[in-house]
Amino acid sequence: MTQMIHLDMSKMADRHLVIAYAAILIAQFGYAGWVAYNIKRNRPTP
Amino acid sequence: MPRPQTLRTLLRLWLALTLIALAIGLRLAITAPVDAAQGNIGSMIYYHVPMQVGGLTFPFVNLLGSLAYLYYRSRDLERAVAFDALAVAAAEVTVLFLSVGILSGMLWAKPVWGIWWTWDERLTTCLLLWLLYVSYLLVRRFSATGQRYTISAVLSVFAAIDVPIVYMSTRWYRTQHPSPVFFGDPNAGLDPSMKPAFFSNFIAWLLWGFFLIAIRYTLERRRQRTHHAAVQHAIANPEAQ
Repeated sequence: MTQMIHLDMSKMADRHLVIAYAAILIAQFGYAGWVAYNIKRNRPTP
Repeated sequence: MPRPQTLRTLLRLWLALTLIALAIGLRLAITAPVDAAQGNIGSMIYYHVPMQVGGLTFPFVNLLGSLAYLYYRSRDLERAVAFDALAVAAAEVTVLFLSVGILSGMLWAKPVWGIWWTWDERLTTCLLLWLLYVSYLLVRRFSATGQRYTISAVLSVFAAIDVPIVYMSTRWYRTQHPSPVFFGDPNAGLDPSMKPAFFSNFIAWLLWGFFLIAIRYTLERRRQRTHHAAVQHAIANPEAQ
């Protein structure tokens, strides 16, 4: 049985962990979304 | 040469595989045993290290693209611009990985070291690497000369020299940054219970990085073709200008 990490958001360390994970996921998927949007916009016209 | 439809299908399969790997990695990261010394913040290793490893791996793709561009630019222009597209795709993904790698490192450092930043050899050379690739992208974006591709390709060769320096910095110097966990001191290493979470994220984020390079390359090739078509049109219809 696995146990989830127990976060205590009153601690700076735990807040930083959450911010870092969120920043990484937002930046990575945001960039992928930006590239996908531009690929669609640059689709050659028939 | 595979057909575009085949490549699109392969890319979609690659994306699906990567997203599954990332989901498994995230689940393992939040269910892995907590580091005894650092507490929850020790789990930063599962995301910070893959970002940094990506930031030190993708410069080699950029270097490969740049060297191939320099080789082909006077031999086969079509092939040269394709390699240039690969180089710029890798440079952008490098900046992305290094940016979030450095940011997550600072967020880790504050609670553990008590400081956001220190000018030790690892952090300084890593910041320098980030600045070099940001400069590379700025040169491409704002250089007004017709030599921008050649200048940026040469700059990328110099930028790549910093990669082994960043990697070796914790081996050559006594740094605030911890010494290497892998391939370092015989007593160094990761607790076996943390390895599944670490390696699943490590592989998943590298797969993701190469996926990003592939789609950014696709975009750059489309931009090149659009630009080429516009130039051809302008030459064929000078009165339209």
